[in-house]
Amino acid sequence: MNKEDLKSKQDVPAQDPPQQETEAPAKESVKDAKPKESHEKMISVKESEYNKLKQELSDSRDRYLRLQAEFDNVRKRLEREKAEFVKYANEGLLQQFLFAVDDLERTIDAAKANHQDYMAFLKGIEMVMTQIYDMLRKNNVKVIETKGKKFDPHCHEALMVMESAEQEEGTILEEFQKGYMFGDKIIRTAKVKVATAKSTKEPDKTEN
Amino acid sequence: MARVIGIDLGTSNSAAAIMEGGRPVIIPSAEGAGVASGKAFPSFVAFTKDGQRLVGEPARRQAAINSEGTIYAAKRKMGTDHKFKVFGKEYTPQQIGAFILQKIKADAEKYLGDKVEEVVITVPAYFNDNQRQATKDAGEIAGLKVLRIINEPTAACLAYGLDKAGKEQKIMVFDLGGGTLDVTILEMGWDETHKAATFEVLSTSGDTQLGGTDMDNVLIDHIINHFKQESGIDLKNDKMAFQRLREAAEKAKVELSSTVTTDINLPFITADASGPKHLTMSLDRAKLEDLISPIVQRCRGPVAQALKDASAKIGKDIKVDRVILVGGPTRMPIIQKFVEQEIGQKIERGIDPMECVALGAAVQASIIKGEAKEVLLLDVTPLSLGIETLGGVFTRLIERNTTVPTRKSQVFSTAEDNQPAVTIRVLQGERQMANDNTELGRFDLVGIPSAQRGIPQIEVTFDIDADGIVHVAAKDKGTGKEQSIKITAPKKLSDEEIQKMVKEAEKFANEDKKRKEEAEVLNQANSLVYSTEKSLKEYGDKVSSSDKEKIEKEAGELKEAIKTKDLAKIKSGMESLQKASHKLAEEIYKSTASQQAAGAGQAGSGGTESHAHEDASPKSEEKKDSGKKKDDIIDADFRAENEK
Repeated sequence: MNKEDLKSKQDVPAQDPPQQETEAPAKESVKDAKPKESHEKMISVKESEYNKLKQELSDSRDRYLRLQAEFDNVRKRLEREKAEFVKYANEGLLQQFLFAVDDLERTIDAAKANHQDYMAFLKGIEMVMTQIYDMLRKNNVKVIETKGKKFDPHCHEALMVMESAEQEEGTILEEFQKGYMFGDKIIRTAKVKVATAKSTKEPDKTEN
Repeated sequence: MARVIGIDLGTSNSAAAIMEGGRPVIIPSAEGAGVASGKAFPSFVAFTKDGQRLVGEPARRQAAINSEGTIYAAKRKMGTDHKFKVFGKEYTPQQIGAFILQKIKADAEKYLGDKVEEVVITVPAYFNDNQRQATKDAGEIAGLKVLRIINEPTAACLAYGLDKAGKEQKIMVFDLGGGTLDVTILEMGWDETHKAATFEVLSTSGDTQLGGTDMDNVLIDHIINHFKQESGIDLKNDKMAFQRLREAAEKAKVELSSTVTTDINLPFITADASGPKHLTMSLDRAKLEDLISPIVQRCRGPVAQALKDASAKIGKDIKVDRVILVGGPTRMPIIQKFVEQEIGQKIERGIDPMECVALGAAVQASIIKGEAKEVLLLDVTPLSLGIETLGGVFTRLIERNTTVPTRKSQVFSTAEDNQPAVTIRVLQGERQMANDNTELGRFDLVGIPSAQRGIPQIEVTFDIDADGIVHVAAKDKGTGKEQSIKITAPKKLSDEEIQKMVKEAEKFANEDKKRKEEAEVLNQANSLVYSTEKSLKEYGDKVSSSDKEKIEKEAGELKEAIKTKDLAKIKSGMESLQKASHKLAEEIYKSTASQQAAGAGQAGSGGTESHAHEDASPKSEEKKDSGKKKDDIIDADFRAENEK
């Protein structure tokens, strides 16, 4: 048993002064040293019994190894299947998305034509967006509400704070980037500006 | 059963891992992955004004509005008397560490559906006893039993399985994180009595103010300057634009690790009186590397220092045998190149540098619990194994990359009527045709009772045991006769050879596919001729002589076509023969009611069956005694067979 090993097992109290400048345990052993076997009692078994046990051990070991290997192979197969599944899982979503792509291409064509009906052009883009919003809604993607809401670190991310007289402390004043939920999962937090109380900052306040 | 996990309690990010089926996997953080941090989470702890305690992502997100209640990088204070004062309460660094560990414990228990009570926690190699004790205390406060505190670089070595080498080696671990650089040189020893590796720290060096964040900042500055030159607008103070910019810079940086050029497109990034402004620029890897080069150069000092100190310690110039990279920024090619140049040694690859330490901690945990014994190092077959079947086709039984030991069986049959023997050619390789692969050995199974083709059932079993020895057995299920071969040392192929063979298989994939199809069409045609002639013999009198003649004529033509090996001709020949035989088929069905369907049905489905390749040469002579001696084992030699 080596000494270093003992040390790392114990509760690392002040021990012998470490030889290294780093004061780290000099040597880490990956394995715990097993205690030396004491004088064991000898037992005797019949040779046939011994052979039977030996055979059983070797059979079990083989079975165990094979199970491990099979586990590994099943895991590999699952990974393959999962990769295959993921590869095409977005097909339906992409199909829906293609309509928006078509329409956006049309808006570009329209803009290139340089006609002056700006309002009609805007209306067109708004229609495209309606379609995209609809797609998001149907896919269970929701915008995280921000402005005027109370800041919640589970879905909002504060980029900056501003003292505010009108707004209560912790209220969201401005949104820098929209956040989205996909089902009950946050896929992007909303980046926001939050109101603080109009009090001068003291570093170590006692109570709040 | 309670589980044991390994924890990387980091300065900026923390992560945990567990052994699953003999390999370590990262336990995902409950609130999902952050953008840059993979499955880890930021080491933030926060106390909100309304008395909540937050750990990880939520704590980081509110840091800007609650700076006095947010604690970050508590690890830097570990082992000191420092107290974090928050809203009138005091917390020791151990307590803050404990909050992070409690979150890990909760996440892990949720993920595993099981209790977690025991852990292994990693610390930097330079941590002193106080710091280690404090880390351990943090674990105890969190209600965890700390089985062991191990060094982060040691954990990284374990993740790479370097402890399996069984010999002494010097290892450098270059850990460049978000904000710190740690260079550690370890000496791995081998404790023969316990069959275990020991790790000794030879030297540590580093820079506590150097990391990936610096790189992000220079890149963002570069983009801002670029835009300023183009449009005259400074985006620095535009929070909304800056947020988009930061994300785009991060994305570009990641992309440039795998591609040489990328585009940054941020439409409507801002606007002035003249109208909307878009940011569009392309960035190539060379530019990025140019930008971060000063930061990379700052790594040189610590690396040199670590080498110097290690050399002093061992009393001679150190030669580093292995180099491991840890930390997100080390994914960048420029960092990898830099380290390889400095050390003159290729880096180890294959493990996510951000997960490396946690994974290694999990490995250590399972070693302590005795879960990971050497037996769990299971090999995989580098190439597919199989046999030659009718038409020279290579039929795989065991796919490449299958973990061994493993066993696969498949039933084959004969290709000819009254075929007395089959030759089993054991092959290894990725090509579709038998002769393009390497023959490992061959044997015959003789004494197959006379029967129509396709009737005998020959079960071929491949078994690769834990030592990599391939046993191939063929058994006639009718007679129980068995013959086998043992291939003791399937030629050890180097990685290059394996890669070459895999590449070759890809290169010839189309050609091989065509040849295999050819062989299959030929097989189908042969089988069709066979079954038609057989039916004609049995039921020929049931159809008119003109019909019979027509079938015979078509069959004859198809036979001729088979000889020419003209695929188009064969295919059309098969079609006309099938058409001509319709009458015959009708008659057969009419009379089959009383017939035993087995023979006819079997013969009719020839195309879909695999037939063991029939070797015409009377090879069977060599092993006359094979019938009695069931376990006759032949040690095959593995020369490549090209004679065919």
